Amino acid sequence: MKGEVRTYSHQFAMLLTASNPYNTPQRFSVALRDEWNQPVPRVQATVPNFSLPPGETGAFYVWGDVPASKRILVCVTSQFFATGAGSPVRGEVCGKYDIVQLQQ
Amino acid sequence: MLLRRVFYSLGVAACVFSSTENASAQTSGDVIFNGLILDTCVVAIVSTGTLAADATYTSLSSENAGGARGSATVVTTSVDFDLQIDSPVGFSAMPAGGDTGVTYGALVSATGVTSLVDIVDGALSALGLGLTTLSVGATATRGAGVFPAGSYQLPVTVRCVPS
Repeated sequence: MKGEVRTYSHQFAMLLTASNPYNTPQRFSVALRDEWNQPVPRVQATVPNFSLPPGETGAFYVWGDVPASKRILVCVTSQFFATGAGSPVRGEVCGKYDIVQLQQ
Repeated sequence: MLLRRVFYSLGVAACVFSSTENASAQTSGDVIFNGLILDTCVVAIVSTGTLAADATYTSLSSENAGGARGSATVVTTSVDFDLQIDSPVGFSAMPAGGDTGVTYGALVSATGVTSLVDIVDGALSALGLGLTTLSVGATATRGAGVFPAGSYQLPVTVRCVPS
């Protein structure tokens, strides 16, 4: 889940997929961060929140201006399990992508 | 978990051999199957933890008597992933005044293809190839006074990130 995106413009786009490993429908959110875990300005996901049936895979685009940091983390996070008292745990899986702006 | 990209490709090459010299000769051909598994990390939460108060009511923790850790599994298809536990940012549910002067922490242990013992939040730990089982603990400590009666919920995030 590492990759390099090359672009001749000041913008980029990439298509990513996420799967639901649970046997129940789950809701997920997409977070975009730089390598210092800070939000990346002017970069967004086409679907920041989505639900997936059990075992299904969904796709979404991440696009925007080439970030100054050149590297972004795309993290997909499941909802917290359980409500009520206790210590709910949620899972987050990140991909690491370098955005390279090529010279024409 | 859950950013998983697994693609399988199937290629079939069929070969036909013929011979006019020896029609009874055995012929054979290979059917080729190609497969591709991309590097993948799957995080699945198994159970929620339980927070219990200590005797002085200044600590709410899965490590106290009566508490229990949450559990999760992580499956990786390469050794190119790290595990990280976020420090809890605070209670998501609590009675009034329940978060006054409270500090939070989380820790994780791992068994399976990864062996970890009580790694604290924020640290990156390399994951092995295959199935890792996690036990995730959380603690809230009050600097002054006691936790007021009520229901508390302290979320913890388990992260799989490429190294």
